[in-house]
Amino acid sequence: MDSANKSQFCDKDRISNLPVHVAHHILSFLTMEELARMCLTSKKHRELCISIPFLTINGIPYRSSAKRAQFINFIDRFLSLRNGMETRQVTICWSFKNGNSDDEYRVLTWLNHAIGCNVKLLELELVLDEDAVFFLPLGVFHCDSLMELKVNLNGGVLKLPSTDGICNIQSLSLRGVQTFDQNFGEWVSSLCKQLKLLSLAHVHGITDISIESSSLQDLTIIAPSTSQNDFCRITISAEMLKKMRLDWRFNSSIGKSLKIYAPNLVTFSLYGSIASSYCLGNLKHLLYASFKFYGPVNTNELSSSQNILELLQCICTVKCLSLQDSTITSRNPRSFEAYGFTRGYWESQNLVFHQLKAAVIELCNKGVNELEFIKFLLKHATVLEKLTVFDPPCFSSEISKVINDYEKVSSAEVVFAPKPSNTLQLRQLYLDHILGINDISIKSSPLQEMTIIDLSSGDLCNIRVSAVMLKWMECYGATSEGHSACPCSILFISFQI
Amino acid sequence: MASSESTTTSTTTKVLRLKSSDNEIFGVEEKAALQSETIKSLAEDGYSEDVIPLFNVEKKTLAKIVEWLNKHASGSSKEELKRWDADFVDVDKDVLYDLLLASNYLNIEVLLHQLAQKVADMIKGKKPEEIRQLFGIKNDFTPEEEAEIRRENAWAFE
Repeated sequence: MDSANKSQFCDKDRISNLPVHVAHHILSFLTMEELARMCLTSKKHRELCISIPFLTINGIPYRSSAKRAQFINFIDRFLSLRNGMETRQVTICWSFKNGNSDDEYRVLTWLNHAIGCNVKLLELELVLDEDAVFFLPLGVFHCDSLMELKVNLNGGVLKLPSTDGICNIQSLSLRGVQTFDQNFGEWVSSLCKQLKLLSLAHVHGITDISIESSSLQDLTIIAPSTSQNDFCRITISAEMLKKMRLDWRFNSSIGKSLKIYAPNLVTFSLYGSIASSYCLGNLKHLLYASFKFYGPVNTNELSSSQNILELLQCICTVKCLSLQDSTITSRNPRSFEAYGFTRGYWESQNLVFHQLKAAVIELCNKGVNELEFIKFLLKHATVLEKLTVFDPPCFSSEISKVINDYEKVSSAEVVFAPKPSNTLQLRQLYLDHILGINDISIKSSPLQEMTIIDLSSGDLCNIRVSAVMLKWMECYGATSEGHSACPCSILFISFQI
Repeated sequence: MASSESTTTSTTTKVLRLKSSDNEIFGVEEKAALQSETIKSLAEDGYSEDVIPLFNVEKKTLAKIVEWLNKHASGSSKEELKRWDADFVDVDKDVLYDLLLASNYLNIEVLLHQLAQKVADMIKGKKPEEIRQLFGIKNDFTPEEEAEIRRENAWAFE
């Protein structure tokens, strides 16, 4: 090989001449398949690919057993080449549905490999076979380097190891998990002494949760709304807690209580239904509060208005308040008026918003109750700087006129704005084995990648996609007469517009 | 050319002066410039009154970087910024390479991430030969080695 020619070429190499961490950053966006192709470009690139500290092992696209065996082989070889190399993040996405029983053993092997390489962030996204239970190995919690653990079982059952030790994990998030561990709160509290962030999204099977942590700073609970028995009593005692978000929807408020001891809480978001009891203690550092109530309330409305009041009394120190409420008014505004949600009512409740600087209020229905609350704020919030009112377009200009003409104690600016829509920034869509849907029509402007897997059931007939940013679309399906899981038609349609 | 997008309406904005390796000086509002961690620490070290020398960035690259810094400090909406960014990174591999080096040196994490994503998007869906062609990569495998790796990675080529 001519050396002059070689150096000229190497100089022009626009990837391997970058600093290694920049090259790795680029490669971290590639799938294993793309990495495998990249390995073939040159020796230097092969080294770069093998030494990448971020690994995403996604076996979900490989549905046929032959293809999957090849993939597993590749991963095994790939990992053996990496022994001892720096590993910051390992993500494993795997479906055990109709799979080989060896698969779980394989995934656990990779997990152990990650632990052996001092992994810092571990992410598991698994689809279990029906009635299967996934046992999270104890080694995960005994891994000193592990800081962050994310587990998504797509609704599957998770069994957590019982242990007396303590672990270093600072961030734990569980999503789409069923656990029959009634002492989950105690388990987390005693095991994860360094925990700073805890996120429980759609975790089923926990009736009462009690968390006691001296390190926790950020807590998110998105309670499943389908079961009445999940997340009844929520008790949190966390002196360092700064941020808390609770999505809590239920049909009946009976037995639902929230008890918080979090003296340093700064940001508090509460969405969902109104519980039967709130005990929030003294939230003297609270600056941002955002409440949004919706859903049917089966208890009588007076008690829910009392409960809202309990909440508002706890948050009198806030600087920024957002109150969006579709329960109060959409159900029966008249009855609410009858219960006296008037200015006089607010006045009589001794609510003082001395520090409130910004407020966001959404008008619902006729906006009568909110209007009274707005008037109350304008009259009493002395340092209020900005009040934003979301008004549906159907509102008459009457309300805005009333608000603008109302005498204010502060120099607050009142802004009327249409309600921002909660657009989801969906970039990738993955439909795997979706049964019971005949027609799908997807209209999404941010959508960039879309994969539809297993059309063999014959349920899906029409797929209409309108996505101006779509760059990649894959459909895997089986032959119409056979039930083989082998993908027989793979379509690559480029929509790059 | 420099700071063409900077606004002069605000009276209190401080302008930092950045000097490229080929001695061109760019005036950038402090708020925009401090998105770079490197500039931030240089400014904290007392360079803020004088010219901040950026020895590793040429003027043609610095001009692009300044354009990005200004845009991202202009308060544009997320949607607008997204469109603008997509246009911004839509450049050839040599410009991308210079921007990657510069954003790494200047420690502008958001920009580095966008550029890395762009390069990865260019790699996606391509055969090894096409990737070599695109990025000027010399194939230094012997035919035997190449055949061997190709066999091992066969599943990725089907």
